[in-house]
Amino acid sequence: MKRLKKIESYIEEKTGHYACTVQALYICSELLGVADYSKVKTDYMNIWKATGTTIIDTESGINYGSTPTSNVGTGFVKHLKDNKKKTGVTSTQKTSAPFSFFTSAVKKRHVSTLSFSVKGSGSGHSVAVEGYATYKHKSSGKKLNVLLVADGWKAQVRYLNFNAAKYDRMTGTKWSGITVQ
Amino acid sequence: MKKYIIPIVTVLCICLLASILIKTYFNKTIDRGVDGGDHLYHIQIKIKDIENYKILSAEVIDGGEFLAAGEQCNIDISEGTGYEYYKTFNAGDVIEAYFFPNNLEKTEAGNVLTLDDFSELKK
Repeated sequence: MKRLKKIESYIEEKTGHYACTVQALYICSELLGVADYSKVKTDYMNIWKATGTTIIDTESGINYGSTPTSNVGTGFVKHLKDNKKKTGVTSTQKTSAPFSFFTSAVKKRHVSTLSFSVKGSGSGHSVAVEGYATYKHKSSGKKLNVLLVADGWKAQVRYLNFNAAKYDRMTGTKWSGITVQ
Repeated sequence: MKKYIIPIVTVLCICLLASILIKTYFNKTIDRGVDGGDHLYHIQIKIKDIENYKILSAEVIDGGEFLAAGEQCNIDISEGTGYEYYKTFNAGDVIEAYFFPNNLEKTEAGNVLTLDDFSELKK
């Protein structure tokens, strides 16, 4: 059964590690029903290794990591194949991914992740995409596209304004050949 | 020909001014739903009445800049409660939610989880 409550503090306590991309992929594995809750550390570190994540900082005994965006798709495929015996899974990655990249994945019940940076801050983040919504301004007809994401930090969905000007390098990764169970 | 130039320039100036005003007005209006232009407003509400994952009525506890404490609101949580899908919400619970102003209308939505999943997760 999916629990979907593996928030940052829980993962840090269980594994001694944290990396946003690994976290996003762990959440994807939860959505796909392949996470083993009796082996959280093993699962998490398998994703860590498969994606070539490296430690960039250590604070209070917790190792924080960074993952090359180019490894997200293939790394998760490798994890599913090597550790979960899931074959036939393929990944698609697109830089400057349009909103439709994610809506088409959601409609097929495929998991996807969004990796992006915040202009001027030099920092980036990766999140698991679980849904979307489109809003229309009643007077102007202007659209507001929103992604429903698990940010990996807190136990609640975040509504991300997909068209926000300060986001940069929006890279989408999605997987086919396996669906949300 | 000269007699047409001033009226044409005047009309163009009025159109330009109007478009700037409209753009400014609508940008401001739609920004009501966006936190700093990037995130939708995150508010705290107390559930008063809930049925099948849909909050029928709620009271604002912390509405940030735009909603006053004590104000009544209706918020649909059937989509997008994320990790908390597994949670059973009850009347009296104080939860975090998103504020969508009345001038925004949801036209399409989807989620990888279905209502059947929500039911399963609540077991």
